[in-house]
Amino acid sequence: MSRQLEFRFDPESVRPLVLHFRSLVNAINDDLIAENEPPTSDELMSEVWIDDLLESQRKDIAAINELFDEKFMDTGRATIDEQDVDLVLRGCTAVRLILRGSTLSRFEDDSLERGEVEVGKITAEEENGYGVYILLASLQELIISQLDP
Amino acid sequence: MVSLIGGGGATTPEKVVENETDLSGVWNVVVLNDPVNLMSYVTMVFKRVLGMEQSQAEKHMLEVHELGRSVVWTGDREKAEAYQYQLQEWHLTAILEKNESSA
Repeated sequence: MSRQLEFRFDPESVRPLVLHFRSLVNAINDDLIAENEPPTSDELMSEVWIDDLLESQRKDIAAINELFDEKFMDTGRATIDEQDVDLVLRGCTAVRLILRGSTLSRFEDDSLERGEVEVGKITAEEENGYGVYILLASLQELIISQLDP
Repeated sequence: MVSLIGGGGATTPEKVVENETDLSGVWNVVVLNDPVNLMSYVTMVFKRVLGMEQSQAEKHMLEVHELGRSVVWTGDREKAEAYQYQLQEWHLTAILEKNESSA
C-alpha cells in the first residue's frame, strides 16, 4: 500500500506566499532553470537532451502547483503520495531556483544560505519571495527526514 | 565535439575513428556547487542516483559545498552521460570531464 505524507501549515500565513509563487511559475519561460548544458555540441542530441529535461521540469513544477491547490489554500493541509515525492522534492528546488534568479536576485548567497535576510528592510514582494524560499526548503527537509530518518 | 547521431552530410572513415577516440576512455561526472540546493537534498540525490552510502554521499556533498566541485562518478562515457542527465533532472549542476589521468 502506498504511503502518504501529510503536512499542515497555517493557511492565512501561507496564502500570500502561494500567490507569489504561482505568479512566478506562470511567468517562467520555457528555459532550463538550473545552469546546465548537454554533454555534446551536436545540435540534434542537445535538443533532445534539453527537451527531455524541460519536460521533466514541467512535471516537477506541476507537482508543486497541485500540492498548493485551492483546497490547500482553504485548509493548509497538503498531502503527498509516496510515488509523487520525487516530483515534489525536485519541484521545490525548481521554484527555489526561479526565486533565486528573480525576486531574490539582489541578495548575497551567504545571506540566503544563513537566513540572514532582514525582513524589515526588504520590499513586500521580496518578503513573500523569501517566505516561499524558506517554506519550500522546510518542506524538502521534512520530506527527506520522513523518507530517510 | 563529437556527434553520436550523424549530423548530416558524408562522414569519412577517418572522422569516425577520430570521434570514437574522443568519446572513448574514462570520464568523470562532476557536480558543481550552487547556492540553492540544501545539503540534505544533495546528499539524498547522490544516494538515489549514484547508489552511494550515506557517509560517501555526505563526503561528496561537503566537497561540492567547500571546494565548489566533486567528482562523483568515473567510468565509460555512455554511463557517465546517463548519470549526468539524472543529476541535471534533479536540478544539480553536473558536467562531464575526460579523466586524463587514466589515459
